[in-house]
Amino acid sequence: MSASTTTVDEPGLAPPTPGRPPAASPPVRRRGPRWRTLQALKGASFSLPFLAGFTLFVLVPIVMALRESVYSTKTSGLGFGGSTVTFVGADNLLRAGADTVFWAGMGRVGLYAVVVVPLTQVVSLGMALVLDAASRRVGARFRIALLLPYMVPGIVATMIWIYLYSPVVGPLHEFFELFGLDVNFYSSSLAWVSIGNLAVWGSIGFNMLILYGALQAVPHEIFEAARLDGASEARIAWSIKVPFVRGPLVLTSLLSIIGTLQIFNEPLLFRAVTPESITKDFTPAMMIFNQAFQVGNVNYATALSIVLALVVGAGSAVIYRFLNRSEP
Amino acid sequence: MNITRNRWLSLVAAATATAALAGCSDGGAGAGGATAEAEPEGPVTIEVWGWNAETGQQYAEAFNAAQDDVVVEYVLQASNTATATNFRNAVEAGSAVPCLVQGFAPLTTMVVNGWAQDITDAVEPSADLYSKGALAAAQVNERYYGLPSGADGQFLIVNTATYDKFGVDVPTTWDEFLEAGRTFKAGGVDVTNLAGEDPSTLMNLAQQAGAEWFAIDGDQWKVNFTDDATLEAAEVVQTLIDEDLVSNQTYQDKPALYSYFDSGNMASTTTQWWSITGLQTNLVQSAGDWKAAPIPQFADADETVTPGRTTPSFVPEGCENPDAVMTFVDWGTTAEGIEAGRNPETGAVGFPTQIPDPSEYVADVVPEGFFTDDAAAADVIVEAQAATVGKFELGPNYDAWFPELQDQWGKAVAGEITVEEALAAVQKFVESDLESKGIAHTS
Amino acid sequence: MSRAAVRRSADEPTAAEARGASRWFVLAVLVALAAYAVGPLWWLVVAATKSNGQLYTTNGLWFADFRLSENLATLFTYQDGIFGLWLWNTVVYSTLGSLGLTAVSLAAGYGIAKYQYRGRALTMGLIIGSFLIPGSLMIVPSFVLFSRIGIYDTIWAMILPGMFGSFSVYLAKVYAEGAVPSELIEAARIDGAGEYRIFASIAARLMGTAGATIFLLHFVASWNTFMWPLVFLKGAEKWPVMLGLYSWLQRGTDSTVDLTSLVVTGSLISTIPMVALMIAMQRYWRSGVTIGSLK
Repeated sequence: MSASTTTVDEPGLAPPTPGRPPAASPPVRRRGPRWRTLQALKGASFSLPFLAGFTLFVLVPIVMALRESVYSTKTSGLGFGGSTVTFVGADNLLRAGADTVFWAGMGRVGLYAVVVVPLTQVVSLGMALVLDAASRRVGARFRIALLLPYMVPGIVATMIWIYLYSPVVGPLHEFFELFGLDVNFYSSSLAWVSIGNLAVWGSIGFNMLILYGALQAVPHEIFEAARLDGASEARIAWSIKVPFVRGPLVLTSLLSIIGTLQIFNEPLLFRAVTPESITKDFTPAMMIFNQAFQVGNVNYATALSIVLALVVGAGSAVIYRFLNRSEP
Repeated sequence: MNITRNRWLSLVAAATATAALAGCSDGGAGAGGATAEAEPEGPVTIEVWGWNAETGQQYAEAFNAAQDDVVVEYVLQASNTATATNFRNAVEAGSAVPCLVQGFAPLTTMVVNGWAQDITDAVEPSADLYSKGALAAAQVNERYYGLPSGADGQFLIVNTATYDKFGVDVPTTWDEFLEAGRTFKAGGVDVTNLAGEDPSTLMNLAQQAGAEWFAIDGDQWKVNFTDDATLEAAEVVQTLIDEDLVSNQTYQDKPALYSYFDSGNMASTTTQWWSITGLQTNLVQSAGDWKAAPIPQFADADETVTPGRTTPSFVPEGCENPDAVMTFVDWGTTAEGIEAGRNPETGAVGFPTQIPDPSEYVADVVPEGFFTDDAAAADVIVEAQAATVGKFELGPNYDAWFPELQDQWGKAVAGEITVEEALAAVQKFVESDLESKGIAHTS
Repeated sequence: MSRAAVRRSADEPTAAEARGASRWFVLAVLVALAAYAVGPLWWLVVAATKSNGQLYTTNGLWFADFRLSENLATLFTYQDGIFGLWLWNTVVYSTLGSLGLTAVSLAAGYGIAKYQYRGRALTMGLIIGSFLIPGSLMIVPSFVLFSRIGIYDTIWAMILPGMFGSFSVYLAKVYAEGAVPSELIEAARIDGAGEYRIFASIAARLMGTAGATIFLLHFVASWNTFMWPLVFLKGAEKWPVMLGLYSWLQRGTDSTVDLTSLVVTGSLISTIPMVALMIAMQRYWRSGVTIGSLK
């Protein structure tokens, strides 16, 4: 992912102007190589606290977890005698790579992601732009309102939507009946719509806040100049503001695609509602959970996690290239 | 037809939580020292894990005050799933394990994972204190690996308003139950509810019919999900589905579920003692119309049999004081111990299902205003308890196959496959899972 | 255009104020979005006023017997008023963790965005790579690790691990790229300011919105988490509020006691501190980036 590191001189304070000298490189004055080395060291030192903690609390556990994937646990007889752990190399990984149930789940979430990820991003970006265009007082009020779903704990969000979706007592069913439509959010055919709405509702506030925060740094003089030139608000938003928040947009898109491909909680909820279609291996994350937590095969669950991470990584790389490509 | 408690818990937990990845233990070799301090003099201290937020702590304190030999430290866990996660982690990390853990999974699972120790010597002297079902439930392969534990016996509750309206007698056999269902169906009423996510109805029926899904045959497991008894049970369910005698309300949507239960459109359901309070709270219109009756029997049964399963508490490997644990558990069968579990909020004691005769405590679990006749309902609950089987062997890999049974059950209830096909699929799944784990099996 | 001229003062009219027509459009869109976001919460507000008996049996969108005060009284007295303790624990865990995370991330993000050094690409690679790890994979090894380094079942298990979120570093990096002009850093250097001082007195201030966003997002996430404390804390008196509510919700499925109405009321109460925090932090989103005044 080295491409990410070239963004230093991309979105500066002005809209990207080709030919602008790289901002980070110091002017060539009186400063020798020693000064540069020292400055680089100091620059690197800003990341030290993070890297130290990251190593201890993230890298070490990851390595401990990954080790599981090259072993296999077996018992014998009635299973009462304890188990033996053997080294099996890449066996688990190869099995995971060829697991049709797993890939079927991957196909399902892949298709779902193609719809939901752009949708979430467009809605969040739209929200942030509209919020940015509103007056400050109005913006402040609505900002809190739009962030509220993110603040609601998951266990309660679940209760809320089960009620709203309910074909028996829920208001949404009644609402659609007004138009003569019999919409059952619990049915198999609408399961993905119900799941998607639940996911979008819970995550737009999060994305909106990140994008909105970035918009705050856009200097207003640029808009004024554009307005004097007769540009419409929509044009200003699209041509000035959106390029300006490309960095944060890449970030929220990455998180969104990763979160979507690893989707777990929402489908699990609907497993109780439409059990005939949402099976235990419906999504890759559900299958991993089932292997680790129910079947008790941590080794295979880890192997599946690695495959999932590779696929998600590939998907993210595509998104990253697409969004981060240099201006034409 | 109520969902198994444990399963329900993990379902809810999983639906709301990011999954905890819980490891399979390596036979508990690293379980480390017991929490108990083996001092020659003075009381023995044991640590107890459970998720009884209401009375766990007060019960332990009362026990500590009542005698001088054992001191119990009660560590409250957030839930069943939390207990499972924390216990697995403690074993995995080789840190200290407690001396008594509330059962969070079927007992055989605990044994296979190397967690539960053989406590036969400690249990046998106190066997008289417990009911037959409670003792049966505590055994695996004829040894005690669990503490005697009462299964919650199933019984039927019927909406008398609906039954009277259709002039139907309360069924005593499953054939009569189906017949009643046909009468109700003509009037647009369901005889009961089968939730698509909850195969416990099928498990209960199979247990009652005398099915043996898993049995120990020498040094291997005999697995049979399609024995005659199971097929007899499957036939009942299949008829309910084929003739469309039931509804399929999910337990997730509680407002819809309760309003349906309350509407009179569901004539009856199976249940157990701890569900009644919740039903009494949420069934407003029909309160006072319900009558408890023994669960219908299979026509060819020799004696009355009540289904009901339990997940006994166990003493982890590494604990050095199973006798102290027994002292603590035995105290729970005394009048003083039962009284110590009285809930300060509800004013009721827990129903001591593990003792031979719990009848003097049953009044506490029959809420006012729900049944047409409270005394009769109390009798039904006590009788159900007395006839409870207690034991239903679920094999060494229950956690693995239960989700598969859920999947297959969901399809069967939706009419996509037959119940028999569903059971055959689970049989296949179990065989291949045992194969991959290296556990010997035959069919 | 000169950098020093770049400013956006607080009382300057914004786009919408300047243009009447689009203001109404903006407002209409905002109202629609807010209705989608907030509408479903109506259920929560209504439900918090109901008794357990009426929670499921009355219309979910309208009030029945108004019992909010009874619910509140029960909430704060149940189990000797442990809910208050849980709230306090959560405030401590979330505040300390979020403060630490914000400081660590701003520094790292700034360093990565504004300096060229070897290992920078590797750091970014690690950060993005770590996004891909399914969270559930980390729990067991983290438990083993925490037991070994002695922070299992301590307040540090709640605070320390959350302080090194790679997502926040990435966020700080992209914000730093947008909000901290390199010319300004250069100017400060010419004035003789050291690198650390430039960060502490200039860059950190310019990254106020970034800091506030990181702080708030982590605060909310940490406020609502219950899986982590479930695994790493033993004993109810150390629990944060969401684990407590989760345990109450579980009671209903497994005993004769149904605490769902307490959970609903408790959830409503527990969102109040978060909303209050958001209001208190408003000024960080008011883009008063007065760059000119710094030079």
